[in-house]
Amino acid sequence: MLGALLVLVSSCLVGNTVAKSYLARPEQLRELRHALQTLETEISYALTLLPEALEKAGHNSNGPIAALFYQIATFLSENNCYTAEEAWKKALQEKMNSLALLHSDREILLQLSYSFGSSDRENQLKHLKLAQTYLQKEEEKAEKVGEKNAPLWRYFGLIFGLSIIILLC
Amino acid sequence: MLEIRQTLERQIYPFFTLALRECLEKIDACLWDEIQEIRLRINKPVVLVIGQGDLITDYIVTQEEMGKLLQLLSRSSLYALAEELRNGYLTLPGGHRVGVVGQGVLEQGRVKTLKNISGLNVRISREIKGAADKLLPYLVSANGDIYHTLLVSPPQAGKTTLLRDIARQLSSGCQLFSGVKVGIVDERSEIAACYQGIAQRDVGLRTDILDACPKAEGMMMLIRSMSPQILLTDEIGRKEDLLAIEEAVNSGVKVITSAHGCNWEDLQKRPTLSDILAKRIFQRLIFLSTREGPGTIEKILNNQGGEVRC
Repeated sequence: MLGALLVLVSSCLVGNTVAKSYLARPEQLRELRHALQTLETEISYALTLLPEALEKAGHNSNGPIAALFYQIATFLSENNCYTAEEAWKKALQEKMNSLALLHSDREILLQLSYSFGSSDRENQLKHLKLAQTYLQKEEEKAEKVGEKNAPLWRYFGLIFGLSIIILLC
Repeated sequence: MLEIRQTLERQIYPFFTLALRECLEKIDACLWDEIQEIRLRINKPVVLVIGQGDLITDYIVTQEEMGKLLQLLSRSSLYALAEELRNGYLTLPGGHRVGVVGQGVLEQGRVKTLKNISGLNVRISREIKGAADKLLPYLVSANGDIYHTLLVSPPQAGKTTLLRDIARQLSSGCQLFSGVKVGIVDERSEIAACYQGIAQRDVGLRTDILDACPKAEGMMMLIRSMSPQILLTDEIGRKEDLLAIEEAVNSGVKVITSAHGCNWEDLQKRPTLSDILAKRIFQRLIFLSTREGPGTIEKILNNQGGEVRC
């Protein structure tokens, strides 16, 4: 009886974890978009320097995305002469494991990083807007996938557990 | 010697590439203290202006490196520095100035910004507290009034350093003088060396700074809003500057400022300046040279053209 319960609980947990990972990506993409929005505001209205703007973007977001922005800001402020592009690349490399983002999401961010430090304000804002649009598209896609797959995995966990119990009985 | 080395390491190195830092590290230690400018040009060796001479290093700056340097110097934020770039310089924390040359981008006949940057000149800013010690007795009258003063010298003779120290001593107070409110209009961010609006140099505790504001407009703004007793600005020469100075003088504010020139005759030849001189506004004209190092006082005249000795 106890064994059956254990099997059921653990299979449900596995199902839930997989379901969560499907929901985490759209969540993080949304955070990312918000962070970029903060960045855009800082750049367009306050003309804040990039390291400080990145820090503010980190401050205004949560979880792993906040950590990512703080990391980029740190790389830029430290005395190891990284350009914006290098700092983004390195921070993404370091934080990729803790993010639920896909390779394609990372590409969008890297594309954006090329524009930093080499273009004027209008151009910079254009790039930021573009990145946000791409991210929004990804987010919508990810949401659809998540909506479809998350309940599926939850049920699957439950059913898998139940079926093993039935089989063993 | 240690001091300038520390300044370089803390305030300038973070903006340099590793290779460039290495190049500077190779320089003879006894020359460090004298470094005034670091000149970087694409495909040319790095030249250091040391004292009165140049030191040509064997390190060549590539185009790629220049791009990276510009990113580092602007902290990857060129978008925020368009206005500064348009004027041809960037300011670093610590008040160091980086002159920039390249290709102008025009918009309606005016320079909008610079592109294809080809040369940088890193000017290391020094703060010399007490630089104005010798000069101050000439600026304060027997009953404690400040004279309207014009400092005159060719470039690099220490005008700005002197102005900065005058501001500090008059504002915080010194032996001769208890402090008063000082307003600085720092059009080119040289006197107070503001970085992001915060003064990087000690310009005194009763000093208000209008950073990066045109002189004439800035002077009027300060008079209206901050009630300064002394207005300090540098390198006057335009017509509107003259009007603003007259306005300030008539509102009872003392004006201390500077102009380029070598001697009395030079000033007379410059149309706007000769007008100011003809009005005999400035009660003290101080001529500086580099004869015995920057800031050598050559001659001090009163508004009648007579020489003043203490």
